[in-house]
Amino acid sequence: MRKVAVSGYSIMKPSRARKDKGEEVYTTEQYQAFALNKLLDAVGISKKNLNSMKYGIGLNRPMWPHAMIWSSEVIANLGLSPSLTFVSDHGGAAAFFSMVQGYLSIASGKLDHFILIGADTPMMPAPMQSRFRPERTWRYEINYEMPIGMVGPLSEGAFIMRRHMNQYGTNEEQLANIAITSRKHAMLNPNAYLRKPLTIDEYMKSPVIASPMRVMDAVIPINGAYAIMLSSEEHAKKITDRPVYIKSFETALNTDAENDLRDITDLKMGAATDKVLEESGASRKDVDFLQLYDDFTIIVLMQLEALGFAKPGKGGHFIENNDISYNGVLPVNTGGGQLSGGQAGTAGGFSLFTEAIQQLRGEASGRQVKDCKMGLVTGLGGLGYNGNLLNKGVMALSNY
Amino acid sequence: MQNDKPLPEIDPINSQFFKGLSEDKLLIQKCIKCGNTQFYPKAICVKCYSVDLEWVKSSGEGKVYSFTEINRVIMNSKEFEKEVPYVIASVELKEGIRLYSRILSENGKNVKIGDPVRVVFRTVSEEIGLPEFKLL
Repeated sequence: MRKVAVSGYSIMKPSRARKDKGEEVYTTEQYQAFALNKLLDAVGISKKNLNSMKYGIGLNRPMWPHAMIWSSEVIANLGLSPSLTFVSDHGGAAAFFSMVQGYLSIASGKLDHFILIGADTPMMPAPMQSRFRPERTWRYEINYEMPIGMVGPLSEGAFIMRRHMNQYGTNEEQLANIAITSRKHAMLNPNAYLRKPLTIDEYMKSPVIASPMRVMDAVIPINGAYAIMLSSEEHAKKITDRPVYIKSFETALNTDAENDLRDITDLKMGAATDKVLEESGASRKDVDFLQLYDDFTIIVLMQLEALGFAKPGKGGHFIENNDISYNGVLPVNTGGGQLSGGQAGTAGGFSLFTEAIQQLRGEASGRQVKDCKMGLVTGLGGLGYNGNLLNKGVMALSNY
Repeated sequence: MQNDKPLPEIDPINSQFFKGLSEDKLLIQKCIKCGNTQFYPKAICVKCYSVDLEWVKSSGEGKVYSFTEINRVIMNSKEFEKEVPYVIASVELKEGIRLYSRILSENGKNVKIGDPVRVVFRTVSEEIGLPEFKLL
């Protein structure tokens, strides 16, 4: 198996399509084109060069335009003739599983490069697919959640949050700490959307949509796009002097599948994390930062436990006693995550990867984790019925 | 009448569940081979992989595993706005499954995790009923 590295990346400026505020109003198809264009500029590869390379294209399945976008349609739009295409339907974990697919294609020796384009525009209007929601969504939501008045991921996440608070005494102050630290990081990140300070008072006053879930416990939707180029080590070194390596990854899909009385507060990512660290020749002490998939504050807290950085049930206690800022003992979501950076639909997870890449290339300016060498990035997606996340994974990235 | 709220989409896997509810029965799937009970209804026993599943009548008794009070309706019918705030719980039934349901209560804020509940039935049509639970 060949070593695989990130050879380049691009990030498009986040927008909520507010023309009145001077924000850009682009569709997903435009973002795909612009992110790719920006990536090729960054790596110094012309379209003509690209045509002669052995590469694949990986895409998230976007929410806009509330209909399938086929990978072959996208390459037709972009005028590309890659050797392989795929679309990840892993929801929030689309970035993670795209990284995995790209890695496998290159590590096997079949392809030399993989270009991942994550783009989505939840703030763009488009024809509705169903009467009540833009998308027709999951079968179990249609059949067992919508008829009783549930309100999507916020209500599913609320069950998890309530249960964790009840089981372990996790409190609002601890969760607010995650939201506030994310905001501090976002203020230092020009690619984050929310960049005004967040106080504990504002957090406590933010509306409770589905108790105990507050607006400030959840992501803010944005339009946005990212592109990441993966290459074999040999090729990556020709493109950049700052390759970022994929050291190892593990997945955890539909865990505890046979147990209808599963503990929904347990993400069950411990074994995957142990294996990733072992294969990376590292211990938890060597981890310089965590970029944890953050749909909700509680899910960040639960990952601190599930990845083995805090004891089970003690995530809140951990946050109270340890600084998770970029210059703290265990930096978490140093770019502001999706909570403050914004979630570009199913491409939201890409922002966690581009943040890890920027950190490991030493390009994180005011929020740079000093001397960082390796970090973990997670991908989570698909809030299951009577469960937590269906798609889970941990990946170690390093600059050595 | 439930004219402008979303209804389940009836298919061969879930039809008996929703039909049963319309006849005041809470039917759950049980594996004939290994005795596993499961929810939501599926085409196979997820434990032993037998496809021989039967419908058994639940006691309708359980307790609240988790709950949420909905204050704002998003991504669903605006009809529900007339009912806010309302409580939805994950109810753990004695038969070893959990299902999501409305909790009927004058004041949703009285609900606590662990509270005992019992099913009541709301008939929507000849083919469809929905389970609701009330605090005991």
